[in-house]
Amino acid sequence: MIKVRGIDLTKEQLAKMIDFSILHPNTTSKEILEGIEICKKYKFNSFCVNPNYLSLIVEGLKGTEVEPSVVLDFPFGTGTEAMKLAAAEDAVKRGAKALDMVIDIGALKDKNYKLVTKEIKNLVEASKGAKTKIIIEVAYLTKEEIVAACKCVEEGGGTYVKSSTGRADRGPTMAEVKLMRESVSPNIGVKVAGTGSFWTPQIALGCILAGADLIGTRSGPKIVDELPLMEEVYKNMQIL
Amino acid sequence: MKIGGVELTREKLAQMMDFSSLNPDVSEDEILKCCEITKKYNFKGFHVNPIWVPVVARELEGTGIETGYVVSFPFGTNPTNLKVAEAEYAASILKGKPWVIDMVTNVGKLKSKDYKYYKNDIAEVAKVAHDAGIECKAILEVQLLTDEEIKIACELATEAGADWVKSSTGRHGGPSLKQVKLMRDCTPSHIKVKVAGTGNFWTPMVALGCIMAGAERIGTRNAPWIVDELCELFSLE
Repeated sequence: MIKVRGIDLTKEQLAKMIDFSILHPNTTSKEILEGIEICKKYKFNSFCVNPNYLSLIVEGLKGTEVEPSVVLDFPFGTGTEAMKLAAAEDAVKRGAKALDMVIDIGALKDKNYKLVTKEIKNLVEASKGAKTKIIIEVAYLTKEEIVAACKCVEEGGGTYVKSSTGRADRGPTMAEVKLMRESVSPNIGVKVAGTGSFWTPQIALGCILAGADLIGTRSGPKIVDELPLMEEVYKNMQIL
Repeated sequence: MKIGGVELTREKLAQMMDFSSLNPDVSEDEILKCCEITKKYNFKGFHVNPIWVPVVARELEGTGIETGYVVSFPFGTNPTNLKVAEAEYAASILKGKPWVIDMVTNVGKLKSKDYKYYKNDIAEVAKVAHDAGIECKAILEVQLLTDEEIKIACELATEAGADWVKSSTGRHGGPSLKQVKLMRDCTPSHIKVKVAGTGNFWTPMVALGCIMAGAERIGTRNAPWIVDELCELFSLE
C-alpha cells in the first residue's frame, strides 16, 4: 500500500479525497446521470457540477455519502458580491452540501484584500453550514498573491482553499500546492483542481504529497483505477 | 531515497537525464546556454537537432557528456538508406567523442505489419552506431501504438540490436505509466528503457513515475526542473 503523509492510500481513502466534477458548458443531463452512477460506484467525496444540474444530483445522490456540490460564479469570479450570494442562497436552498466559489481575482491583484475577505465571509454565512471551497486561480497569481489569497480564505472562514477552476491556462505546480498548504492553518483544507488528463494519477499523488486534502477532477475514476498499477510501480520506494 | 535497492543521489539523478532542445526555432544562443546548463548539472547527454551537433560537441569537449544525434527526427519516415546516411554523417563528425544515436523507427511500417522492414531499418542504423563504438536507441512512439504493437516493436528493436528502446520523440504526446511499464516488462533486461514526452506539467512527478516503472533515462528539456524538484522533495544531496 502507498502511504503518503501518514495516510494509507487504500482505494476507499483515495476516493474520499476526490471531488468528481463535470463542468463543461455543453454537458447534457444524460452525462450528469452517468456521473451520479460513477460517484455511487466509486464513493467519491463529492460530485461537483454547474448550478443548472444541482437539483438533478441532489436527487440522484440521496441516501449516499457523496456530497452534491456546485460551482458559484464559475469560472471567472467576476460577478458582484450580490450575485455570488444570491447564487449561494439558491444553491443551499436546493440542497448543495458544498459551494466552490471563485474569488474576485482582479480585486486580489489590486490588493483589495478587504473586499476579497468580506466576500468569503458573507459566502460562509450564506452557506448555512455547507462547506465552502474558495477558488483562488493560482495560474494568475504570484507567490505573494497566493499567500495573500490564502490569508483571505483563512480570515473569511472558508473550509477549503482551492487552487484552480481547471479553466485557466494551467493548474497549479507542486510548489504552488505546497505553498498553499504552508499558507493556511491545518484546519483549513487544500483542494487542487486543474490536474489535466495526462498522468493524472501520478499528479494526484504529487498533490497529496505536497499537502492537498482534496482533488477536484473529471479523471477521478482513472486515478482510483490506476492505484494498483501505482502500488506495483512504487513497491520499492521507501519515502511514500 | 532508494530505488530498486540503490540509493539515489543528485548526481545519479542527473546522470539519468538526457537534456534536450529540439524545437525547430531554437537559436545558437539558446543552444550555447543549454550547453552551460548541461555542464553545470552534469547530465548524461544533450540532444539537439543535427545542425547544432558540431556546436554541442565542441562545447562539451572533455566533459564526458554525450552529444545526442537524432536520426530521421521527428517522424522516422525517411527510407532506410537516408537514415544510414544520417548516421554515417554523424559518425564522421563525432568520431572519438562521446555520443549516441536516437533514431526514430518507422511507425507506419510497424502498423502495416511489415516487420521485416521495421526491424531491418533499425538494424542498419544500429550497425553504423556499433561500428562507431557507440549505442543506438530506437524510438517507438508508443503513445501511437496498441499494447500488442508495443510488444512487437520492443521485440523487433531487440532483435535488430538496438541498445535502448525509447518511448517517444516528444512531438506527439508521451507514454502513459502503463506503457512505460509494458516497455520494461516486455524487453530483456540488457536492453535499457528511455522515456521522452513527459510534457511540461508536473514533469518531475511524471519522471519519478517513469523511473519507478523501470526507465533508466529520461529525455527532456525539463531536466533541470526534474533534478531540482525531486532533490528538494526527497532531500537528495
